[in-house]
Amino acid sequence: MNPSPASHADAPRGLAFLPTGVPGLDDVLGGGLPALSFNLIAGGPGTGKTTMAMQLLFATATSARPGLFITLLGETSLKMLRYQQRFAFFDEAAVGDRVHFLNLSEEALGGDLDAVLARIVHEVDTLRPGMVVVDSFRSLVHAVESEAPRSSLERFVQRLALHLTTWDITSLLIGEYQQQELRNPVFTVADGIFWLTQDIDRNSVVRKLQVVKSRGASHMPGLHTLKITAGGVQVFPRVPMRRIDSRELSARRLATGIEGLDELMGGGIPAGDSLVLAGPTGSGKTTFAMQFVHAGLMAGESAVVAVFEERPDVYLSRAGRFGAAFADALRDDRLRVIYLRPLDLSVDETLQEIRDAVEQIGASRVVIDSINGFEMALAPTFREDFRESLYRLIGTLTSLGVTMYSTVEIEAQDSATLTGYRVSFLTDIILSQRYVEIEGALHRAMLIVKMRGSDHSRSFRLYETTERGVILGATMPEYDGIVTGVPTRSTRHGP
Amino acid sequence: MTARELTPMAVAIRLWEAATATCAGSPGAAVVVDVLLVRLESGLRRWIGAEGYAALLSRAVDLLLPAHPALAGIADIGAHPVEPGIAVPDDDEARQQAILALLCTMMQHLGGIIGDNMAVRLFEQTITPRQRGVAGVESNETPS
Repeated sequence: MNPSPASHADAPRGLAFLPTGVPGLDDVLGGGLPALSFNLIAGGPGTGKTTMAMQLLFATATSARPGLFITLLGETSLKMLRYQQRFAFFDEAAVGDRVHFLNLSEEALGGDLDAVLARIVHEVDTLRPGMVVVDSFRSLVHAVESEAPRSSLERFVQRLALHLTTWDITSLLIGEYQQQELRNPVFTVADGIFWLTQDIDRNSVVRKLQVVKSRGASHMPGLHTLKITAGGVQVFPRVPMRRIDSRELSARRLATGIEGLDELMGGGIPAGDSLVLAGPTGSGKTTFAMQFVHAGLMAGESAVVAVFEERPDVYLSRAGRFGAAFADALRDDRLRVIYLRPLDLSVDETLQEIRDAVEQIGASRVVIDSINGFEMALAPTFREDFRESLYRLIGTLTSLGVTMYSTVEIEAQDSATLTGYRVSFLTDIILSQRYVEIEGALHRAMLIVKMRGSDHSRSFRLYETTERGVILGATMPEYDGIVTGVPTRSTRHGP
Repeated sequence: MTARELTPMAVAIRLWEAATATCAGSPGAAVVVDVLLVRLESGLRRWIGAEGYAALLSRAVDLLLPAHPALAGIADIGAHPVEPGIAVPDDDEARQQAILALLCTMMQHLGGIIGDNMAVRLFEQTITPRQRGVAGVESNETPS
């Protein structure tokens, strides 16, 4: 037997983490895959188990400490090669150099666990890999359980774990398990258990990852959305709320871009706050938000706009009425217009995309136009928790120091609430737009409903949207009942 | 030269040359064929198992036998007897050409599953045994 090879990392044993190469997974695992750990990737068919394991293998394998992928039963090595080659992480030149494959299906079909273990031990001894993947472990169990006593299976698992760990190997066993099988001996032995699921809700398919356990690591609890893309598996961590009081960020105020509105808001929007603009269709919500972006761009700031209701080219074409600021910023990479319209998005996926854009261009302003469109773009299963998810999204983004400006469409005469949609708890600032009928003509009015920790105007104010943008008008002190949309002349001012 | 730049015939020739170099003296084609096939099976079994290798070999032999009856004279490749009246060449040149054609066909069949580049790469890797050692029967390079 070869001497035990050197450890993967210079860090003391038990403290080293291996970068997984799976975007988002290192965050979920609390820094990466613990070196020398014995892990199980479990889940139903089509959940991404093999792809995730393969991605890990390619990410960690080196010529000195190669990766070894052992196929027992199920998908053959050839089929795996056929399909895994399409992923970007698959490096053809690595095959046979730093990534090796071994087909033990014939030994496994024989049902002789000792023979299977002997082959694995021999291969590991000769190849000296840094990571070993065994696929599919569950199939092996099925193949032998009718012939071998359960104790022999337990012994096999224990011996396999012992061999791999003592040779400084990080290992992954892949198995098609159901959650009710958690009492299986392999779950006891495993240092880490990654549970992959695939749920179908109406026409939408959503994959999720749960790290059931990860010894020696402070992993992120909960279910995390997982996607299989051309790049391989990507995990979207369910980012925990890290809300910072916006007033801790700075006392700076951001211009709204609408003349006169900053004064009504006590000097503008406090940096790091979240604003929701609620209004009926055609009330100019997108124009308001566009002017917020424009003001930032003109001040040399960067911005991210997530549009859900129109294509970026249409959005940018409309923004052209404010001059070349949008086009220039786009060219200089100070503006990102993110178009998110597929109907199976997860909140975490959206959050990740916006976060990435914010960090890449150092954006200080983020616009979501609109919350309704965002909800429609989500897979049905995520809509059930939409408000909680939105709360998390806004909290996470504002904790990064960005100022958020979201639009939400409400019913034209929703007199019960000024914002509709029950999103007021999410936000520091609420602007409400209304249609009001005055003397037989339809006008538009706006109101600052709330601004946390800041003085602001409490009067309805008429406004118009023109080709040059929003023009604020007068207040309406002579009217009552504006909120109903059909105001009456106040008796306080006489007939 | 990388696998991407190699053609199936180029790899087949390299496999033949490598097997020839392994044998001492001036080996006949029959000895080289034995070395080559043992080495090939050893390398490919890791990927497709013994049955997979046998199937790949058998399919290629069946396809090529009419054009290369010399295959019928090679032991352990599962070739059916040739039609009555068809002579089986017994010369080294015919054996070598038959084996080169066989290797190319196997690579093409495998390429249909995993892509031509990867297939050529896997065959190329059987030219030299793994430096880290080969397990069990797969390490047996001695011609039978």
